[in-house]
Amino acid sequence: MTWSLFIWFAAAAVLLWIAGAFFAWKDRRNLVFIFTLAGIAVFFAFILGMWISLERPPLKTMGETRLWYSFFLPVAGIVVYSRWRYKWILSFSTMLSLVFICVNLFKPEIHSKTLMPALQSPWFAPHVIVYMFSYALLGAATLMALYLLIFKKTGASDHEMNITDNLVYVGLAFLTFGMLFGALWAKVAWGDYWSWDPKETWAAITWLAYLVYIHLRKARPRDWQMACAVLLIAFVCLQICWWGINYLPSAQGNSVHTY
Amino acid sequence: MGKDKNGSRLSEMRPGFLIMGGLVVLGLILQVLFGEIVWSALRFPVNVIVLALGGAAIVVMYALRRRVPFFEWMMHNGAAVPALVCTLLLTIVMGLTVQGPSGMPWVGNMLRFWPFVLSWGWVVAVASIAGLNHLLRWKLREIPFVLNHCGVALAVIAATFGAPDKQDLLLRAYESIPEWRAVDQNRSLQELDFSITLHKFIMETYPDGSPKRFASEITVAPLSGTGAVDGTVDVNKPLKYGGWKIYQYDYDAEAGAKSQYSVFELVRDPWLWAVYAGIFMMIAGALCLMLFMAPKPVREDERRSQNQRRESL
Repeated sequence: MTWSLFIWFAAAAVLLWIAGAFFAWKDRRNLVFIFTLAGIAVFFAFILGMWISLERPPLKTMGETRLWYSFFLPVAGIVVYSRWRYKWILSFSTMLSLVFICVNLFKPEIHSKTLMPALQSPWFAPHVIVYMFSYALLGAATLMALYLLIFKKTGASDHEMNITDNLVYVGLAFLTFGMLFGALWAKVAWGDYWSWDPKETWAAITWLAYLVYIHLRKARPRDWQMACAVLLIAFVCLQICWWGINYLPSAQGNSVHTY
Repeated sequence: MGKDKNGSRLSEMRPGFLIMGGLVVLGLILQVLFGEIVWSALRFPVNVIVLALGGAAIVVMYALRRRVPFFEWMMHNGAAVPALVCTLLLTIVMGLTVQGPSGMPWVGNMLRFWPFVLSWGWVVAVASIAGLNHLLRWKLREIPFVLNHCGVALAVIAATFGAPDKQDLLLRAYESIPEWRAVDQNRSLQELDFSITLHKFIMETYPDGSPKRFASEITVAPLSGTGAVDGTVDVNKPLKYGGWKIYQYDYDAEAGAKSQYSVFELVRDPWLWAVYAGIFMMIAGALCLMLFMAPKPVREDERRSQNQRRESL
């Protein structure tokens, strides 16, 4: 498997996801699952192929993490659909996934076989994969917040906040897994489980921001606007943690998390 | 939550924001009066004494919760939100400023900045008392809450109070020469009761020249008595010896694969078990968060049929 084949696998997967999203609007549930899962399988086949041909998990570069993000968005979409039967969610997740696929097509990053010794660990794959899955779920929660604040405006229904809460709870659970797997790995690799490296600081910030959301929802169940605003701020923190850190003056040259 | 005779006052957030403001001001005063926090003063047994006093304070506050409404309030979301918001803001300041010797005064050394530490301390105090409150109900369904709140409190407390007791040394061993002297974080020489002998430094590269493997074949032996251990230290594969973990840290970069020495990082952390207990509680707690604590989903189609039923009535 080589990177040049990406466009074909991606095109096939996106077409299948579009078909799945289309049948969601038509209420043809079996077809929704068949097409969406087939698309997910095609996309995963590419990731697996890259994994085998690179002789390492494709998780090293930003481009490779985007690959996983494009994969997990439809996964999160079909999970949400299976739980709430929301017609629009698969259209949303397909569109967002397509954006990340296009970024990867126009700005491919070097996918060499080399993997530095610090990254050769059984923790590498679970640490990054659970983070990417969490980012996909929290991205979906952010879309809900944007929809409620900007397009709907008239107020969030209990049902809509129920979806948002669920996305955040599951997203935060995976965010916690990612952070703590990272801590356990850091102990093995660098001798300390937490050293306030800029990436770690922003991981803690992101984690705290979603904790604010969860506790605020319990303290002020009616104040959906404040809760949605917190979600937007939290997602900005998440983006800084994921890639914004590379542009932060405070993090230049003193992060061990730059690859 | 918070729906007892006090009504919604338990989720009142204003006192929380006043407390956080007060803590920041108090922290600034302490910073002016005493300068930055000197963590090394908390070495054993001082850390254990401070922890015991703090733990006792939490238990007393819990016991007096019916008599002092403030302690009751502390266990609820009205206290949690301001504590988290203030800590979030201070941690964002940390994330936006250069940390270390080249950083600004005060906020450039956030881990020694009183307001930052007091704010985190308050978060942990609130999580602890809330965790204790739910623990003492002795109900199965409280387990997720207890795992999350006690887990994070345990991990943060053990990591913070245990840090002064942690030993973190660098040892440079030349091939075939036993070495028992190492330097600590303050660059002062420490003599160990065991020695490390480097047999061979191993460096492998990919075809493009980028590094593939750094490793050292070593023997660790006590200075007196028996019990020598042979092993290989790889990046990501430290060697355990006694209470120590030995990490591959550095080598002679100019000589590359022909390096005549290897630098090891030696870490001994007597509080690690407590941090790990906290971390595993948090992992179990996060699993529960997802499986049991998330609100029950309501399906779009079910909701529609419910609405239709309601309309037809």
